[in-house]
Amino acid sequence: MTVATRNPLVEDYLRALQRATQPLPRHERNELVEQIRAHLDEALPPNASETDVRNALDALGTPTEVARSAGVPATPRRGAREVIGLLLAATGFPPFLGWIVGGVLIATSPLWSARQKLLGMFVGPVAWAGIVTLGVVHSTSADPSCHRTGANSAACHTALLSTSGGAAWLSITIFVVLFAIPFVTAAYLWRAAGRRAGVNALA
Amino acid sequence: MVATTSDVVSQLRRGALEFCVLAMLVPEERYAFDIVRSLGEIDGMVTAEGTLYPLLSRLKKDGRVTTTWRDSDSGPPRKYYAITPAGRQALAEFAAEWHRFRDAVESLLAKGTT
Repeated sequence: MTVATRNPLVEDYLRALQRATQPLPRHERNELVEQIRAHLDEALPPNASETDVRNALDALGTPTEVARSAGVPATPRRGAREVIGLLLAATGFPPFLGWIVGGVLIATSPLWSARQKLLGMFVGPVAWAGIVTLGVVHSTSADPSCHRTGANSAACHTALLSTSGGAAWLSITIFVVLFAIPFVTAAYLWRAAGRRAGVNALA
Repeated sequence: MVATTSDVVSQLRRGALEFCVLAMLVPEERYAFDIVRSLGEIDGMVTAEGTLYPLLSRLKKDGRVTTTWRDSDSGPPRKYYAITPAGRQALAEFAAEWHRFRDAVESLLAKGTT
């Protein structure tokens, strides 16, 4: 190993190259990284200045360019699929259709990992299931007159609000949190997609 | 979306580059860094030196070049690339097509730019 390969700029570049060539088979990725390392060993004298190193790295091209030439496909940017998919999945509107269409759009995007996709697809239904459960819990613990007149009557609504102060606030808080979770998740997934697209657009 | 002139030239360059590399190996076998540097010195041939290494690997995979490690007095062993008969064949085919194409483009451009 010569001085060049112990250089921090070179090591940063090679690490970025490793990341950019992730999709390649392991032996191809290793071969390419070794070829580039050997190239830099030849190109840079032991007493190379920072300028020399930067020039040599510039001449090589960005890790993304090199990865592209090795057959790594370019990742598309965030687009309509991601926007509409997240909106439909978070709002769940139109009822059920929103989750299904949104879920399909999320599942078919190249910008999320499998785990992120599952999160996006199911956070909406799970949160709403939570809200419905909360409503059921309330209607079963409310004023008996509520049962007689039906869940949507005024008696039930007042029953909800008149349960002891602490329980009411807890319920409201839980409701707000459950309602917000799909939107917070959508925001997180939006940024995650942006990071994935950005990593491939930059060096 | 209209392709810019530089897009078109990039495509041409990408297509011709592997045959230029093969042509460089006809007189003698050469090592990777030497090939990369020589090409880099020719104006307009290579924009990113790093992209030549996947190209060399592809040529080897396609059986158009072979590689041999040789000791070098100035440091670690070097990987030398040599052209194969299959490589010579591919180069000859490309050269014939290229000459036809070049002549056709030249004559049409000449008529269009006088």
